[in-house]
Amino acid sequence: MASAGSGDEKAAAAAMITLISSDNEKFEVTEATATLSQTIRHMIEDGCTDGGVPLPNVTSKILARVIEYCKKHATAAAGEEGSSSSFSDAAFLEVDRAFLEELEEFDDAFLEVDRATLFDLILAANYLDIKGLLNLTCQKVADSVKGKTPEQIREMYNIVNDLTPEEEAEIRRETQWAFE
Amino acid sequence: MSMSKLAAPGDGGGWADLPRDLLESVLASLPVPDRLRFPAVCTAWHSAAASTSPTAAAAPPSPWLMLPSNPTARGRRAAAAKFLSLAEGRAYSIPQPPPVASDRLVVGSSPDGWLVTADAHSELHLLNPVTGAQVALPPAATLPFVSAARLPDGHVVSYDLRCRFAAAAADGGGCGGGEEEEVLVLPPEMLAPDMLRFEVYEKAIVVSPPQRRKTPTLPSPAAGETTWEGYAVLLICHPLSRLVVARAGDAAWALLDAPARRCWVDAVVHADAGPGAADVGRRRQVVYAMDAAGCVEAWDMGAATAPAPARSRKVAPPCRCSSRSCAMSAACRKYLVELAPGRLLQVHRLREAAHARYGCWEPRPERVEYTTTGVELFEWGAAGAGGVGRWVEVDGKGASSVLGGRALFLGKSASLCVPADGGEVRGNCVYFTDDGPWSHERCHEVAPDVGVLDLAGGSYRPPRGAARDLLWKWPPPVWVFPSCAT
Repeated sequence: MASAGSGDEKAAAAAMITLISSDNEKFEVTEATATLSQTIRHMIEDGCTDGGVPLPNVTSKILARVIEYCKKHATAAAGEEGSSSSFSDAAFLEVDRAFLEELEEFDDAFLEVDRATLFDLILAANYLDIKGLLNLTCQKVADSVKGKTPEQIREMYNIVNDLTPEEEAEIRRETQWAFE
Repeated sequence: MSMSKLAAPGDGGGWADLPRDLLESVLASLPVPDRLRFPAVCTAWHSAAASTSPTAAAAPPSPWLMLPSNPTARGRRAAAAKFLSLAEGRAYSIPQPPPVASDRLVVGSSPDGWLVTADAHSELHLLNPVTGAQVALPPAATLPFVSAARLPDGHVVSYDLRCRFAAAAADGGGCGGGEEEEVLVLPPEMLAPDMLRFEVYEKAIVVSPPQRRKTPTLPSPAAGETTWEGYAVLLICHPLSRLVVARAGDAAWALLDAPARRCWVDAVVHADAGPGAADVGRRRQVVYAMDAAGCVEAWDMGAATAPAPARSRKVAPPCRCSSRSCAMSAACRKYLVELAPGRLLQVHRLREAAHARYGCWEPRPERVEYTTTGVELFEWGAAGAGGVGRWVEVDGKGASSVLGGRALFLGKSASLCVPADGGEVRGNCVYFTDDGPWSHERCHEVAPDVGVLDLAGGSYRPPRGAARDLLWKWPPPVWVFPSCAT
């Protein structure tokens, strides 16, 4: 819970962490921003962040976007620390509505990316274990396939159909009505 | 997760290889039809779908309207039931197991996708219309006050309704065994097998949904051999709107509210947010039931095992709306909704006889066509220590709406509050289906009162895409919250 003394929080916020992308670019971020990533949080807890945190799976282009997301959400996260991702109604009312709306707008704009970037963001969010970003990006994928036929989904995501005709026919036969 | 996958080049070619757990979380946030199309994309997506627990659902309910059946349909289409997906604005025809869908009256619909249906012999089933899973509930002849007249082969020719029971003199809690009890006897009635469902079944509430028995048995040779466990169904039934319950393994319906005290009109299952809430088997044990006057009592369904009657505790006193003699009037229906755990809302649906507007002749009572004209909303304001709580009329319009931008679904279905989806499920709107009073004649010949009431603008319109199908009347439409979990 966020019952820690404010002195500790200030100290934590002031501490800077260096993140190093796969192409060796360095990013300086506050600890509050970095710890949105559970992966980095654990590294900090284990005290192995001196000299920077190498992230060999994330390119500088993607890391820059991820940091952009984390900076924006770090303040929001401080408020709902400890609670689960789902808002209770009471909590919802307490949080400033305008701020939530702004955050929502930010998220919408943040997701205006091509499919390749979206794909990399999902993998980065997964690797860095950033729950909010992972949910956001997976929801984006889910929204994009809603109401689409398998053919449309394959075309949209450049997926090769490797099901045998028999397999595909069987899948369709089980719930024929959903394909009509 | 393997590192090689993380290094996949960002050229969009890796989508089929998205790690399994990520595909699963995408899948879990999809509505039912998309979940079913998902595995047909490629092998990786197919196996992700196969390994995703069907109960894993992150998506809010995406309501469907079960449409009346087209009496001119033949063959395969006659065995199917038609559902309008509000989000997609299109209908799906889904084949259903016997007895045929067009012979069934839906008297309840749960947030977990189960329908409670009454067939032409008034026998009750739990049915998941998406998967075709079906569970027979105890026979109608085991209901209190109902006995069946049978042919030698066991076939039911008619049902007899005989109502003799002890009623508590007062509705106080301290009803001692030695007190004088009053015996009420209603005139006995004989009903044809298909009439019982109109006269006796008011509304069914699925307290806990059926689950497939987990024991590793041999693959069952027929679908009918699947065993189901863990379910409980509450039925508000006449005469006098009593509560009866059937649980998994029960051979008969059991009276819950003995002695009779109240005239129940609606009930909701309390959403338990406490520990163990995620465990389907342990949650949802408390039911809030509301009577015609707006009193609410809580029944602990988990504590009692059949046939011992459950205990109830009073939650809220009566509540009156502005409708004249609203408690007993057919023109005012009442619903109980749980907005959030413990936050109760009661909805009074005000209706008007359609003929009143046209100034034409007055039809017989069973032919009166109703149309919804508005709602009054009352939220339960529980008082602090020592004080007395009361129902407070609340506003459903605008930003301060008690619905908080969500939509209400009311009718024979579970009274449910659903987040708006940015599409056809609109915030601060109430989605109604007709719920009686029902009779054979009314259900077959009178246009059902189905529509969407916009609380802000006051407009009342049929849901988009439903108008043509609503020209048919039977079976009466009902909201369905589809799920492919079981």
